[in-house]
Amino acid sequence: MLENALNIIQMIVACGCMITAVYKAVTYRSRTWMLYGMFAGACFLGDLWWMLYSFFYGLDAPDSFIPYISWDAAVLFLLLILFRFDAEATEDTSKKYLSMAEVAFFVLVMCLIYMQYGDYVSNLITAVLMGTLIWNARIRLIRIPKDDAEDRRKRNICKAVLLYSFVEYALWTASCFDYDSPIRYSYYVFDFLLAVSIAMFVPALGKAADR
Amino acid sequence: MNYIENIYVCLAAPLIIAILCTRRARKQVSVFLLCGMTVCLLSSYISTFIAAIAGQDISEASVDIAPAVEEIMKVLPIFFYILIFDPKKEEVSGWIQMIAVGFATFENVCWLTQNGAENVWFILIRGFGTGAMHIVCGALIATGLLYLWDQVWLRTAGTIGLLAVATTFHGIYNILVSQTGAAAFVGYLIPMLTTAFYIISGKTISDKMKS
Repeated sequence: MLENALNIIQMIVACGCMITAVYKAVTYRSRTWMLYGMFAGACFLGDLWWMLYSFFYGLDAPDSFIPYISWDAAVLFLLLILFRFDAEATEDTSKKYLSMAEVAFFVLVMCLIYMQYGDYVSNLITAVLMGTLIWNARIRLIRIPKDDAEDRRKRNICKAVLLYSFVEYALWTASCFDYDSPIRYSYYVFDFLLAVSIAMFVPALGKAADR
Repeated sequence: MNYIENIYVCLAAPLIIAILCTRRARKQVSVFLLCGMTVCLLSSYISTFIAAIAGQDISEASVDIAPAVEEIMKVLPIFFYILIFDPKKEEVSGWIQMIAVGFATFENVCWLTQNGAENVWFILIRGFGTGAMHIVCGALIATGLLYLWDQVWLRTAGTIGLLAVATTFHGIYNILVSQTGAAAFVGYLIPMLTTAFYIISGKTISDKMKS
């Protein structure tokens, strides 16, 4: 019941963000806003598929790849947003590779844990996408200076991406625990925070994506 | 028994004659309509084959396997056309729609031979619903493929993302129309409303995004 309510909240938030993004994309002729609209749209459709399937077929966790490819597409659109903000490499090469190794290690360990509960292929695809997303956000956060307002806005987008990634991993980890475990309650908290993190992109993108 | 190969021959014959007798743009319209029908036929074979391997029945396969197979099959002829003939952007958008129209037409005719044609009101809703759904999915991929990305690798990544979104949209439609009563009606209505929105505002949006 609570999960369905949270799912509906997430859908409403994603739908609202999608409408806002499309409006801003058309008003400012911004491809970044259009990409964010696609991100929110992919989240919305994935949630809707999941809810409809659960409702009509009476399953808590549908055994299908369709919502997962939608959510993976959402991550792909976030990645494309980050690629629009190029930054010059200012850090040492060793630091760059160390950062890459840290992210790769984290997503690989988490992927191996999730593989105990889900299928291998979709977990592997998600790990590759999330790893690339986290690393790109992290490296841009290091590279983009804090000098002017424009750069600070770009940094805010990277922070929003990292927040989204953190909440996603926390949510997935909490979902691995049994329903009667007290840790499982944190799943509902993170499910709500995911809706918040999707909405956080609207202020984070702000004027950085207006043109 | 539903002899889809026989139906295909019957529908394809006039198109093949049209291809032989007409020139340029008219010929291309017939070619892409025929492509749409052909990929629909092939999609049904592939979906049935995968469902048999996965041990799924027809209703499970229609909400799980068929959307992904059909969406991938629909874009394959257009990918081939882009790679071989390097056409203008404006042309490609129209040809994607022609493939979708051919696909929806063949699917509707097969459905009619299986379910009868007594109820004209239901057929009217079903005809428009299926046609609209395939066109919405085609338009989604076309918009991303043609207007949102300049670099080839960004376009490829974005198109894969949009393909996933189109698959989920198709999956939601299939879940709803496989039900009875109001749910099926809502299922047919969603793509029709989306198409209406696309007709009213789509041109403005794509013109603004192009400039």
